[in-house]
Amino acid sequence: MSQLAIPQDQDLTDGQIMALVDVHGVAYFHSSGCVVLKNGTWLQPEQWQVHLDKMINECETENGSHDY
Amino acid sequence: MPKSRSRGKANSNLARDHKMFSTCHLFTWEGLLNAKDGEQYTTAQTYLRMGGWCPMGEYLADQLIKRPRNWMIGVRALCRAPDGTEWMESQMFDLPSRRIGDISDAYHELRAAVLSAQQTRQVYDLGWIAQTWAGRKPEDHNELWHYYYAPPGIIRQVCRDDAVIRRMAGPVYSESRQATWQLSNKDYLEQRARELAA
Repeated sequence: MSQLAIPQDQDLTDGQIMALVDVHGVAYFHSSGCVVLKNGTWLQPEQWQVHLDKMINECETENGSHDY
Repeated sequence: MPKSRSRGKANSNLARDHKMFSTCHLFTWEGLLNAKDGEQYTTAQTYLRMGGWCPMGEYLADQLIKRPRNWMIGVRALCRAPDGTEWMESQMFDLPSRRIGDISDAYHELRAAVLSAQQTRQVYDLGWIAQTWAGRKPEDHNELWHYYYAPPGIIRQVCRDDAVIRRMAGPVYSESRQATWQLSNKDYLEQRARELAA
């Protein structure tokens, strides 16, 4: 079996994950919880969670700044 | 006293099945491996009117493939010339009222046919896509359905609607994708030769 050239994405920092998603965007979701980006990167479920947490935080921050 | 009529529709497994599985697709790209385990994965999705394409869990995907359905099947190769020009070579066929798992040999034949029309060194990925339909087969003169998750530049060759291209577009060319596919293809051919010799 050949050694396949697999992109090594497991050691990405949180900042790198968020930058990857922002720059390339999501191509599609897999039922395993993995997310495939438009540059072909497979994000693992825990890596995608980093991005989700960031989005949730941003929503909460924006909502919190409203005067009701 | 007159009998009261039952209200509402009776439960129908057929109707429920139709609703869930009438527009689904399965697809794979040999050059896009999960970095965690180095495996190729098949992606199963169903189309929800309010939510677009949604990933199917293992149970639903199993139901999708184990029952006879109407399928459109395509094998597609993504190619890139040294000057950066890209195109997609494909072969398609219809499989009405059959289980998709019954035709695994056809994949090998289609795969060989697609590659025979290309210089292998120009191919940067190859994969199959299968989509279900129910009732009357949808009209699709450009066979746009089998461009799902191809790079946007390739979809643009058959579709000028930017919103549609954005919705359909998949991962683009990269050197690592091409290198992965070239090695994956070598493994596939060696494995296939062993199977045929046995």
